[in-house]
This record gives sequence, structure tokens and C-alpha cells, in this order.
Amino acid sequence: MSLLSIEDLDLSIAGTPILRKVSLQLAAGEVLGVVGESGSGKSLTALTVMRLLPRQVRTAGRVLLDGTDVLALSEAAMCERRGRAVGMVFQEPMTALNPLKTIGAQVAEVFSLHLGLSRADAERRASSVLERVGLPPARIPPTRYPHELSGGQRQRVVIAMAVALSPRLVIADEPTTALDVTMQAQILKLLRRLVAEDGAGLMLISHDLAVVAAMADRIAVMRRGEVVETGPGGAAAFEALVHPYAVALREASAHEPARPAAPPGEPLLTVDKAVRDYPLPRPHPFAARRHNRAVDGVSFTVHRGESVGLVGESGCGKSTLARAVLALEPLQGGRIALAGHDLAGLRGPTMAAFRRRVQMVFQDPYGSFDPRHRAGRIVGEPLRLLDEPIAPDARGRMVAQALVEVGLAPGDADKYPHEFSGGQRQRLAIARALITRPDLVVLDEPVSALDVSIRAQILDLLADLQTRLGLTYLFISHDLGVVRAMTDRVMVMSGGRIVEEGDTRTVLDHPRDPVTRGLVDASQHLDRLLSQA
Amino acid sequence: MNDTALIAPSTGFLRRALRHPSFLTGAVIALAIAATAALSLVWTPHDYTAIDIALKMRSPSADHWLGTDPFGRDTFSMIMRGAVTSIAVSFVAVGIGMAIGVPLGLLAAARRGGPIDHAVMRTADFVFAFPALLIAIMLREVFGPGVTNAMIAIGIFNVPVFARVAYGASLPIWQRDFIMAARVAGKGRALITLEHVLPNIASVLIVQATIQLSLGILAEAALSYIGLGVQPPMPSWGRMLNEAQTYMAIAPRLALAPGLTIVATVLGLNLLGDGLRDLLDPRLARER
Repeated sequence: MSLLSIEDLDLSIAGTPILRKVSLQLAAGEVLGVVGESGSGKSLTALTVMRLLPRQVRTAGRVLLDGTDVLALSEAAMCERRGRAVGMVFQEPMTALNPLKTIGAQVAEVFSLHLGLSRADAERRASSVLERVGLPPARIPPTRYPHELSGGQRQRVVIAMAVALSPRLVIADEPTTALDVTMQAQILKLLRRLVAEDGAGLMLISHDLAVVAAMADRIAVMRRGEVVETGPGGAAAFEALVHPYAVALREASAHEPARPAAPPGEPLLTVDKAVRDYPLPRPHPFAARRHNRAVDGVSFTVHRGESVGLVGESGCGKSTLARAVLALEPLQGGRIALAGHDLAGLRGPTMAAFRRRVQMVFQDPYGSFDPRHRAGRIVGEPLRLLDEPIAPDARGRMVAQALVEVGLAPGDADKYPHEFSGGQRQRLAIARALITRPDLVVLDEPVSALDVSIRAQILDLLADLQTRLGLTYLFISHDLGVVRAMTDRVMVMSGGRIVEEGDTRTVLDHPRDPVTRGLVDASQHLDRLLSQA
Repeated sequence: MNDTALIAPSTGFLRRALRHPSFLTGAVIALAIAATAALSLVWTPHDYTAIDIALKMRSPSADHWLGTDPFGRDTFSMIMRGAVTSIAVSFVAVGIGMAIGVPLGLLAAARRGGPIDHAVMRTADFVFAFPALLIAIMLREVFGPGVTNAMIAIGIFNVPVFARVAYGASLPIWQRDFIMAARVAGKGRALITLEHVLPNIASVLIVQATIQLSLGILAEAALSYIGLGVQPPMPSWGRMLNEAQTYMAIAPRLALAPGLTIVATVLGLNLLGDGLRDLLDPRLARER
């Protein structure tokens, strides 16, 4: 008999059907990967197993856990099961942990709550669980608070809480999406080892086909509240999937846009020994100011028409460097120049001219729009940088043209940001960046917040716009697959310095620096995964 | 108020407003009070200052809807006219508080971490340390008692409240990506504050304004109660409570009438504020 058996699960929120006839099976010791884009219902399916649903939700069908229908259980009986029979790992470890409690206390709570252990016993058990997830008390004392840990360590604490009582089933909802690539591989390995040791079942939910394929024994593909296909996991996963949607998903994640090679022109952006310091809080009011050096003597040149990638783990200084290139923050040393003009000397009209030539596309398009402004106003905003003020009708025409250029309709100008889908919002952000016809566009993780199929479309759009408008891209990303597809040259940053740079394929295929090698090893690029078969 | 915040959700604003229960209830109460106050300027059932000892302490009747007080004055007429005092004092006080406090809070947030930030916010802390009552007593010692001083005292009390609320609500806005996008579009601090920060904190300010309006009504009542507010024979809800105090045992209705009026007004303003906050947010503007 299978450990978890979801049979014909229907779910509706306030009368709107969300899940339709979802059926999934999971045996003990098995890893079931559930893959799908945002809104496909994969998280709601997991929350149904935990019975952590919003109030207005109506369900039909059966969810059998070890033969018991959890949908028929009382709330008290369910509380007993959560944590003990089913453990859950959440996407965002920072918000899943209580910031005011030490990690030891949070793990110990699981024992005192479910087993009624004394405080000393619970803490002893907590230490051994933390050790088991790779946080040995000798190195990471249980008296630490969540903010004192790195993202990967925090996720280990969340996993420790989920597996503390050796539950029969562990549900992991996008457990590595918020983490760096190097961290991602370690956390996935840890999860696999833990469920293997306990003989538990693991339901792994992700939008990332590569993660699911590498981890799962079986894969279920979800779309619009339905399971469209199930198949075996492992390296054979992709060949086996036949449903048109699964095939589209597979092709989209391996997608490389067509980018005709353009000979690089004259130097456009020159960065020379740039240094950026942040003041640290003083320990007491009379202490000398101390500084944290985020960018440490970085030098590089970007030529016109080129596409240059900037990769590195979070906290390596790449976003700080981007802000300095955009003249949003001053340098403490060195210089940055656009076409020979030093950024430090820009004032008033020369600053406007600079801003016109350098624009930016942000990682989270929704967050980069004022929610109270309509799309037309948002896209037209950089037009204030033009020397001559433009008439309202000319402005309207330019906004409409910019919208059409990125594949939106002129009528979309009257909508609010929340009325667009994620992919449309990123198109909007690109339209805003291109309306002043800039030379250089800084793209900060432009596709990492997007679903796989949308990501392919946006990459195509970016490649097409670069060719048509002769743009130069500075492409910041932690996703080596995207960097490989989109850039001619790549720079690897670590600890505020550039540790390796060169032709993208050469650097990624034959990494010399240990940091680059770590990034390449960790990134589960689909090609590499499939070629291992 | 900034026009973007008010124009933005105009599509079906009225229709949505009519379907929002707390907004509707609050608006009806606030309008009723405002209409009563306006009416009292031209008409009240009886002269609210006319003293007629023969008519003292009458129970409610067809002629005197809420009865009369120990001087034979008509309680209903006094409540009507008292609304003028309460509304005038609290609105002017909130106006003073917002006009000075909000710009200061926005300025401090735009210059966060710098000397201007510290100067403004520490001054606000200092002013905040003086309760409105203390300010009112100081003002009376200098200028004598009166309704104008009550307005100024409550207004001064409101300044640091609005400065802090504007500051606190602005800080997270300044961290958002769309502020950086605005800087990439070449906007300076002043323009960003006006076009992006203020509209996004407007809902918080509106809710705070309704809270301060109701607190202003309470403060006016308190100041009048201890004789620092409006002077006789002009009625106010607080003075009516004060005068009813000695008759609590024999005629509780004398205290209940102004007391319940204050409760209803404060409740109405709070409901109105909650409703406005929901209605002014375009993200909540979808059909329910």
C-alpha cells in the first residue's frame, strides 16, 4: 500500500475551481517530483496534505496518508499529525523561522510539543538533529538566531524541524529556489540522504525541471490544477515525457535564443579599479567608523554591441557594482566612465544625458513599478530625461510604440501593474528601459523570477532587441544556463573582486578559478544532466 | 491630498464605495454629524443659550427631545451646536498636525541616516514628550483660555504623530525597487517623495488622520471638561459632560447624551478611515 495516495482531489476557493481530479501516489522510500509553473496548483496540493488551507476552500475526493483520509480528520487530530507524520520544508527559510527564537529552541520545540519531553531532553535531541542536517553544535551553536546564519544554514534548520520526529512523509515546497546554485546542490543531497535514512517518502515541489529530474524517482507534471502527465524520474525523465505541455516545458528550459555574432565596437563602459565601501554601524558613538568593502578594485571594459555576463553568489558584490555603474551610488576609489565621460563629474543636464544612455531592468518587475501608476505612465517615465519636453500626444505615441516593440498592445497603457502576468510585467520593464533608446542596459537577474516557458520568451525578446537596436548588455545572473545562452563574455565575481573573466563558453567549459569551478559544478544545467545518462 | 491617490481608483469608485459596509456606515455617521453641525448654525429646536430655571431638569418630551439641563437649557440643541465646536477643533488640529508633521516626516525619510533625519526626528520625540493637556495649560497661562488655544495645543500634539507615521511608512517605500527605477529615470529626492512616496503612504496617513480626528474630539472634550477649551455659554460635548458630572446620580441622561454622541462620532470616523484605506488602494480595486 502506498504511503500517500491522493484520489480525485477537487479543490475550489470561493467557488472558483483550482484543482481538478488530482491523483498522485507516493510509496515509502520514494521521491515524487511535482513540477509545474506558478499557479499550476502544486503548492495547494501539498497544503491539502498538511490541511493548511485557507478558510474559504472546499475540497472533494480523498487524501489517504497511511490509509487514513486526512480530509476527514478533526483539526486536533491533524495537529497531532503535522510534524510527526508529515514534515514540511518551506521555500523561504528566513520567513519560515521565528526571528526571535534561537535555532536550538525552535527545533527543541518540536520535541517538547509532540513528545512532551522536558526542556533539557528536548534540547539534547535538538542538538543531535542539527548535527544530522550538517549543523554540528561545535561549529554552529544552537544558541544562534536565524539572522546569524547564511541562507543555506537557515534552510538546514527548517529541514531539521521537518525531519526531527522522523516523519513518514516529507513535503518540500521549492526548498532551494531562494538559495544560491552552490547551496542548492548541497541542500538537495541532504534531503535525499535524510529520507533514504528514515525510509520516508519525499514529495518535492519545484518549477525547475532539472532539480526535479535529478532528485525524483517519479515525476508528475501539473498544469492549471490538473496532473497532465506522470513518468519516471532520473536522467531518462525528459525523453519519457510526451504530453505537449511537458514537451514544451522541456524545450523551454533548454532554450537558447538565436544571437547572431556581432563584432564588438569601441569601448563603451570602462570601469577602472572601482572601490565601493559601506559604513558599518559604530559599536559606540565615539568609535571610529569602520567599513565593509563590497567592491574591491574591479576593472573591466564593455564594448559597444557586446553582451557581458556578471556572475557570482549572492553577496559577492555584483548588485553593488551594478548600482555604481548606474551612478546610483558614489565610488570610494577608482573611476567608471561611459564613452570616456567620468560618472563622478555628472550634474544636471549631463546626468540626464547619462541616464538616457544607461537604463536598467530589475529582477522583480512587479517590485520595480509603483503600484499606483498605470503602465503608460511607468513606461513613459524615462522620457523626462529628453532635452526637450514632449507633447502629451507624442509621448502617448512613443509609449504605444515601446509597448508594441516588446510584444504588448498599445491599449495596455491604461492598466495597472497588478493586472499583468509575470512575463508581461517583465516586458513592461524592458519597454521602460528601452524607451529612451539607451546604449547600455543593465539586466539584474531579468528572468530568475519567471516561469520556464516565459523565461524562454523573454530571452528571445532580449536577444531580438539587442540585434535590432544595437544594444549593449551587462547581464547579471546566478543562473549559468541563462548566462551561457545570452552572453559573449563573462566575469565571475567573488568577495568584491573579479576572479575570472573571458569568453563565456571557454570560462564555463574550462573554469580555472575554484569559485568558477564551484559554480559550474553546482549548476545543474540540463545539458550536463542529460549527457550523464 | 495628492491627486494620484484620489484619481487612480476612480473606475467604479462610487460603486465600490457603496458596497463597502464599513465605509458606508462611517460615511453616513460622519455626514449626519456634519449636517447637524451645519444646521445648528442657522436653526436649533430651542436657543441653546436660553436659561429658563422654570424648565430645569425636564425629562425627554415632544418639546425637549433629550430633556433639559439644571439651567433649563435644551440638551438636544446644545448637542447640535456642540458638534460645531468638536468638529472645528479636531479638524483644525489635524490640519495643523498634517501640514507640519507630514512634510517633516517625508523630509527626514528622504534624508534618512543623515543629520537632518536625526534633527527632525529627535525634535519630534521631544515635542511628543509633552501631553496635549500640558501644552494647553501652558498656552492658557500665556494667552488665556479659549477655543483657539485648544486647537493649537491639540495641533502641536498632532505634529510629531504625523511626522513619525509619515517617516515610518516612508522608510520601507524608499527601499523598494521602484524607487531605484525612478532614480534611473532621473528623478531627484523631492520628485520621488512627491510622486512615489506620498501616494504610497497616503492610505496610512488617511487612517491616522481619522484616528487623530477622533482623538481630537476626545481631547477637546477633555480640555473643555477641565475648563481649558471653549468658554460658556458656547456649548461643547466636553463641557456638557463636565456639567453633568454632579448630576450623575439623579440624571445620568445628562452625561449619556454627550457621551454617546462622542462614542458614535469616534466610531463613525474610524469606520470611514478603514473604508477609505481599502478604497484608495488600486490593488484592492478589483471587483469583490
